[in-house]
Amino acid sequence: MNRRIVLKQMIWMGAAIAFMPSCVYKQDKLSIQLKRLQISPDQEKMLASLADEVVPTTNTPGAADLGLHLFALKMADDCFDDASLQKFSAGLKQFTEAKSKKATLGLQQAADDAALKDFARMYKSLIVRGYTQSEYYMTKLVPYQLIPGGYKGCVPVA
Amino acid sequence: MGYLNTKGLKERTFDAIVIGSGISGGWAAKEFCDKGLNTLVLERGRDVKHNKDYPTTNMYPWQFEHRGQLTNEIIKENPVVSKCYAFREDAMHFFVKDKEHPYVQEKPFDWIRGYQVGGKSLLWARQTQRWSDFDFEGPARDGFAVDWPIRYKDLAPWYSYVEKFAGITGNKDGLPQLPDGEFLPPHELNCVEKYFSGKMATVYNNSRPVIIGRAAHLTKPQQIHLDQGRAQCQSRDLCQRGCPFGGYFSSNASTIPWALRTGKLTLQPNSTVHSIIYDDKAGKATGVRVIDTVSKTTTEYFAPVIFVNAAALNTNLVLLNSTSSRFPNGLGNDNGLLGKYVAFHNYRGHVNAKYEGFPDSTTEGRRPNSGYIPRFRNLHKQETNFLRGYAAGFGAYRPNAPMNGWGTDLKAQLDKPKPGVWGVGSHMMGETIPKENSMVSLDPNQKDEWGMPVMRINMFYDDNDEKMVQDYHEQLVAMFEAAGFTDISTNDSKQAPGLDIHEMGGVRMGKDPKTSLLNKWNQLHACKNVFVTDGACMTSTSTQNPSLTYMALTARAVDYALAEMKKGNLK
Repeated sequence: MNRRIVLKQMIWMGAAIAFMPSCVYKQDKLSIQLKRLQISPDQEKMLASLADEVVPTTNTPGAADLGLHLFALKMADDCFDDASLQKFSAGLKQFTEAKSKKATLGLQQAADDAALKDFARMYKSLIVRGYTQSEYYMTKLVPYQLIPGGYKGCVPVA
Repeated sequence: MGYLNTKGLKERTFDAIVIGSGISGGWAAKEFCDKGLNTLVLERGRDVKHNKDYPTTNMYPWQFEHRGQLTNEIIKENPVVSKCYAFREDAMHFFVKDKEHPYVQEKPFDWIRGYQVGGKSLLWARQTQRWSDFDFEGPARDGFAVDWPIRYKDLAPWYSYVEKFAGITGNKDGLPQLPDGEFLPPHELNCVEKYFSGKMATVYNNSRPVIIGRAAHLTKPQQIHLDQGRAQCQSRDLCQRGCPFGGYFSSNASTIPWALRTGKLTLQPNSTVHSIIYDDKAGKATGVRVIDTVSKTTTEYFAPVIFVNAAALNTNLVLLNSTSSRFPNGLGNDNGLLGKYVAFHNYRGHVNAKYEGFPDSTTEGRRPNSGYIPRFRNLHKQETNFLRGYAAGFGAYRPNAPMNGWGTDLKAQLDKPKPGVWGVGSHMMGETIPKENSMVSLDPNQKDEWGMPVMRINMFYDDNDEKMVQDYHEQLVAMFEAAGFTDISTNDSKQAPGLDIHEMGGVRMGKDPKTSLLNKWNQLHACKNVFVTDGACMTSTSTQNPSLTYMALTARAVDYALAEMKKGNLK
C-alpha cells in the first residue's frame, strides 16, 4: 500500500470517527441513544457487520468506516412510522434468531428468504441512503453543489 | 377585552394600515411608503429578516439530522401541514404547526399557513402567469359566480409594473391565453421537454403549447433588483429555506426592506388583528383592534385607509369578526355573502411515464422552475361535459440507473452512478367553481388562545372537479402516448382541498353590491376605505398560480386609493 493511499485512508478514518459518538467503543452499551427501537449491544455489533455486507470497506471507506449502522438505527428510530418500525424490529429479532442457529447467515442470503426479506431490504436501503447522503460521498464521490449557478437542459452524458 | 392603549393617540395613528406582510401586504406597504405615507404593517407572526433569519439556508444535505426527512413524531403531531411538499426538515420552521392554530374542518381541508413576516412569500412555488380575458370572462361566459368587474386591459399595466420590480423569468411565447410579461431571460427546457413541446405542436396543431414556466427568479438582475439588495438566482433550488441571494421574489427580500428604507414603514410583528373598527357616525372604518400575541393585550390603531391582506381565509375571518351595529354580520356584509363562494385549485391528477429517447444527453445543475402547459380545454368554447379546464406542470428529468446487488458490485455502482431512462411527469392545476355553499364561517363558540373565533371551513370537490380529473388523465395519457413515452401511469392523489395552497374568494369582486363584496378597485362596496387585495378578492380561480395577480391588483388598488385620498374621498 503506498503512502498516498494510507494518508487518504487516515483522512477518511478521521471523518468517520468524528461522525461516531464518543461512546462507540464502550463495551456492553449501545453507542446510540434510541427512543423507540430496542436492540442489544450484540445486535448493534451484528448490524455493523451486516452494513459492511451492503457497502464494504475496500480501498475506500465503507459502511463500518462511516458508521452507517448508527445512521440506519437513528433513521429507523426517529423516522419510521409505527408499522414500519414494528416490521423492522420484528425482522431484526427473527434475523438474530436465525443467525444464532446459523452463524454464516448474511443479509444478502436473508434477502432471498421469505421470512427475512423485508428486514433485509429495509436495512439495505437505510445503509445505501446513509452512504449516498454522507458527507464523504457528497464531497468526494458525487459532489453536491450547494450553488450550482445555473442549469443546462441538454448536455452529453459524461 | 382589556385595552392597553399605552401609546398616545398620535403614535397610534398612521396614514395607512396594512394587515398582513405576505406577498400582497408587502406590495401594499411598498406602494404606500414609496408615496410618502406613514404606513403600519401588522403581522400576526414573528419577524423574519432577510438572510439573518434563514437558519438552514447554507446547510448541506448531510448537515440535517434526518437528511431532510420528517420524524415520525413531527408527522404524528402535524397530520395536516406535514402533507405539504415543502414542510421538511429544512423549512418546517416557516410553517404553522397543526396544534398552534386549530380550525374546524366541516369537510377535509388542509390549511397550510405561514405566520411570520413575509408569510408564505418565503415558501411559494414562485410560478407567475398572467391572466387573460379567457379567464376574466369565464364566469360571464359559462354562467357561474358573477362577472369580474375588470378585464385584462385593466390589469395589464399593473402586471408589467409588478413584474419589473419583482423580476420574472419567462419566454415570450405570444399566447393569447397566457399573455407575455416583462420577462428576464427564460430558464431552459431540457432536451426531452423540448422534444415533447415540438411533438405536441405538430400533433395538436399548436393548440396545446408546452412552454417553460414563468417564475419570480432573477435570471438576469436589472438595476431595480440590485437596488433592492438582490442578486442573480444561483439555481440552488432551495428556495423554501429563504434565499441568501434574494434570487427569488419574497416580501422579505424585496418589498419589506424596500419599504423600510423609505423610513415610512412601521412593521409590527406579533400583532393579530382582532377586527376593523367601524364608526357608525362617520360611516367608515377608522382603524383596527390589535392583539399582541405575546402579552395578549389589545391596542387600537387608526388610519384613513385600511388594506386587508391577511391571506385569503384569514382576511375573511377578520372581516367576519368586524361587527358593529351597522354591520352585525361582518364588515361590508350587507348581502350575507361574506365568506361564501370560496374556491381553490384542483391538484389531484398526476401522470408519470418514461422516455427511452435521448440516451446520450442529460442535464446539469438545478432549475427552480419547470415546464408548463397552459389551459387548452374549453378555451375558445365549451367542448366537454365539465366547465372550465386545467393547466398542467410538465417536467422531464434523468435519474440514475437502478443500482442492484451487494458489496463491492453495489458499491461500484453507487460510487459512479450511471444515468437511467428519462422520467417525465405532469400534474394538473384545475379551476374549481365557486359555490355559495363552499364557504368559511366563524365558530359560534370556540375561540383560540388569543380570543379570536376559530375558523370553520367547508370546501369540497364537486362533480365538475371529478370529471376534470378524469379528462386531465385521458388527455395527458393521449399526449404522452403521442410522444412515444412508455410505462405511463396515472394517479389521483385525492388530496383534500387546501393542499394546493391556492384558496381564494369569500370577499369577491363584482359589479353589483347585491352580489359581491368588493368593487372593481377592490374597495368594500359598503365601506369604501377598506380594501381587500389578497386571494379573498377573487371572483373565480382560473388555472394560473394566483400570486402575481394579487400583486398587480394590490399595486393598482393602492394607486387608486392614493388618488381618492388626494381628491378628499378617503379621509
